Amino acid sequence: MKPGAVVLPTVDDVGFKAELVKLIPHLRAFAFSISRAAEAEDLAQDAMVKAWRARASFEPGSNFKAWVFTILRNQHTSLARRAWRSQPLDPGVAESTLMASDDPMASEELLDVRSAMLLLSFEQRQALALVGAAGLSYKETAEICGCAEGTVKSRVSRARAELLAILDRRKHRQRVRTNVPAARVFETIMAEAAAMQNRDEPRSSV
Amino acid sequence: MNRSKSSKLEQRNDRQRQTVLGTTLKRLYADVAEQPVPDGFLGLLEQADRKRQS
Repeated sequence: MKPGAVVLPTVDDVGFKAELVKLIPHLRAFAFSISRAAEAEDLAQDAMVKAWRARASFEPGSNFKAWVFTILRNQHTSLARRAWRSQPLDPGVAESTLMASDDPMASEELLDVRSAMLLLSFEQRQALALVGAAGLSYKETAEICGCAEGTVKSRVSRARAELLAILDRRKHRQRVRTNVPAARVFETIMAEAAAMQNRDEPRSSV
Repeated sequence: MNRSKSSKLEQRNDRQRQTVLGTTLKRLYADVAEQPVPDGFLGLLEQADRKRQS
C-alpha cells in the first residue's frame, strides 16, 4: 500500500445493519417531513429495505446518511411523479381542503407547517426538509437531490417564502371563516326566536 | 412613520418569521426522530436478513 493512502473502513452485513438501524429515526423524520403521515411510515420502511438490499453498492467510508437519504428521496420522487400523473393537485382546492394532520399528538403550529409543506412542489419540500428540518448542509442536500448547490439554495429560499405565504393565506381565511359563521349563527338564533314567538303567541280564533 | 423605518420594521418582522419557521421545521423533524422505532421496522429488517441467510 502506498504511504499516506486512505484506508476505507470495511463494513460487513452486521455492521451495515447496525448502522442502518441507527438511522431509522432519521429516515422516519425525513419521510414525515415530506409526505402525509399515512404514507410516511411506508416510505421510510421501503427506503430501509431498499438500502439493505443495495448494501453491496455502498462505498465504505462515504456519507452513509446521505446515501440512505438518497434512496428515500428517490423513492419519494418516483411516488410524487406517479401521483401527479394520476391526479394533478389543484393548489387552490388543496390549500382550502387539506386537513391539518392525522397526528393527534402534534401541536397546532406543527400541524399547520406540516400540512403547508405538502402544498409545496416535491422538490422544494425535499430541499427544505433536508436543510431546514434535518439540518443537512447545502452540499449534502445537493448530493442527495442530485442537483447543484445553487439549485438547492434557490429551492430552499423559494420554499420558505412560499410556506410563509401559505400560512398567511390560511390565517386570513380562518379570520374570515370565524367572522362569517358568527353572523350566520346570530341570524339563525334570531330566526328561531321569531319562530318560537309566533308559535307561542295565542292564535286569534277565527 | 417614514419609509426607511417602516422598511426596517418589515425586514425585522421577516427575519423573526423566518426564525420561527426554522425552529418549527426543526421541531417537526426532531419530534419524529425522538420517537421510539416502531416494531415493524426491525421486523422487516430481520425478515430481509433471514432471506439473505437462507
